[in-house]
Amino acid sequence: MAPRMGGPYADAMISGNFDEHAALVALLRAQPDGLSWPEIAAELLEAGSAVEIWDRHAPAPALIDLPDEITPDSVAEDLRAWQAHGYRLLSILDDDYPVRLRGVQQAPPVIFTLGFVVADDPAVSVVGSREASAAGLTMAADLARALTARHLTVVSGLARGIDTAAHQAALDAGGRTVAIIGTGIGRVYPAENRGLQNEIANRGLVLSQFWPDATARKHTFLMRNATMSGYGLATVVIEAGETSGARAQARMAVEHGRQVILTNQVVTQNPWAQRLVGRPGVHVASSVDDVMRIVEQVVTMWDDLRRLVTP
Amino acid sequence: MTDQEPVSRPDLMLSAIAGGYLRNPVRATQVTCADCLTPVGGYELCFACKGHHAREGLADAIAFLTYAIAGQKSGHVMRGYKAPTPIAEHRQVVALLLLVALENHTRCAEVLARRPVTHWTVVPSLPARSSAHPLRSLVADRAKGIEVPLNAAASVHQPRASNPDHFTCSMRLPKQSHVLVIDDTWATGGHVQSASLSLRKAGATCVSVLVVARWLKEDYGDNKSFIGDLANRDYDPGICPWTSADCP
Repeated sequence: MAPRMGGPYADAMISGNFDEHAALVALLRAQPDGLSWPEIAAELLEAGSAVEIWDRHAPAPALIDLPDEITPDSVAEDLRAWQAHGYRLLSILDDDYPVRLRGVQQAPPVIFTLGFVVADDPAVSVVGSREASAAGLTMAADLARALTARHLTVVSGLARGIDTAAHQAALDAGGRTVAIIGTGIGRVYPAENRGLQNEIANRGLVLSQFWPDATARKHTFLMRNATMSGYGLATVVIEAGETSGARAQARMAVEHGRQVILTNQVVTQNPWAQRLVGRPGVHVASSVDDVMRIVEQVVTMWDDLRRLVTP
Repeated sequence: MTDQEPVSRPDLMLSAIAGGYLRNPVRATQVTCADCLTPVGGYELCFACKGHHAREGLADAIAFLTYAIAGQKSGHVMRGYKAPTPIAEHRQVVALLLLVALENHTRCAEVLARRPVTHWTVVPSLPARSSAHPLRSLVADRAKGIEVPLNAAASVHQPRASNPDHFTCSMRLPKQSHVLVIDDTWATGGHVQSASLSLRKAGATCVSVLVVARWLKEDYGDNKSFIGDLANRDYDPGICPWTSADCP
């Protein structure tokens, strides 16, 4: 299959990538042999090629052309349409795919991005309630500024409340912020954050693991929280209730081997947070300075780990 | 393995970056297999290990550093560390596990065997592959004694069976030799036990086996409830892998 238009895939070097991406999209749509997306991701990492996995599992071609048959050829139009919208598609096998995210078992096999991809992004998630108090919003903004001053990326989920405060403060301070969203990259939720999402796409990165036209559902937000946990070095939870995405993200971060920083207030008010205290990588902080002290230790530890194993 | 010593303590780093998902193997008679620590419903040995016991010359002692559970992060790590493009974080976790085990617990293998470790080896892939084993570079500077290279047979009928012909040892081992055999993942134990048998043929007096991970699948026997019981038992790097308790 040869790309037939300009843009990133026009380069001969990247046309191999086009074939890889078309095979990946066909695999994820057709799910041959009943493969789940996580199973496809695991096979990709072991084989190192989507084309190889497609060839291994592809259904036998129909004798006549079926109009709805999914093949790498049939999805090529979608790849070109996404490209025309400016969406970048990254396979879990691509060099630019976020390196830490690849390390968690829920790593999405495909992501779509708008903005600047940094594979080895030193990032911290700032998450919390959609209905945050004024003090919570202030702490989220102060923390985003402190992370920016330390040249760390502020990751959040573009939701109302804590997320919006963290993204906005990072942008205002001239920092890098990444929005990991619970919809397709062609949509915005909540609608009031359309301007913020565009601003992040222009100056930072918007990342989605769903098909570009996918709408928000309860499970998409949970999946998004797993991606946020995997993407960064640590998750900081500022104000979260009993049934929040932040609570789920804190639990998943422990299961991912990521650091979790809970504010005093979150621990005081939530039995789930009290149960997390004492588990590996879980820290409690009483102030932004406290959070930053812990973040500094985490950054140092990963520098040590890098030296431990030569590539 | 290292170009510079880490500043932080390896056991503390291991706990911080992997304690939430690695799980110390359980040694409990008739709960887990006496050899491979997989869940067994009231038997001493699992079916595969019982099969291996038809042979003389199996490993004298076997240590496991963690369970690796298919579909969970621990399983992801044991595959990702040796993927065609290895996942850096996964190599770091496997390196830390081995670092802690070799530095803190090689002595435990010596106490159990009542003789010092004199040699080490990494179990090669079966059938033979041309590339270096991904485990070798992680242990080469850390393991005690002389390396005993094992060569894998070019083709084998039943790679999961224990058979001394699966590997050949290129050197003759001296009397009183104690070989530490290192492997990454134990599914049926055939590879490791075949390596033990080959080393005996080459003259090894004592064979101790250090396995990074015992592979567990939820959809096998009663594994699901066993795995469920592990959910909140965070990893303790201080537990001795040779005894699953205090050091001997």
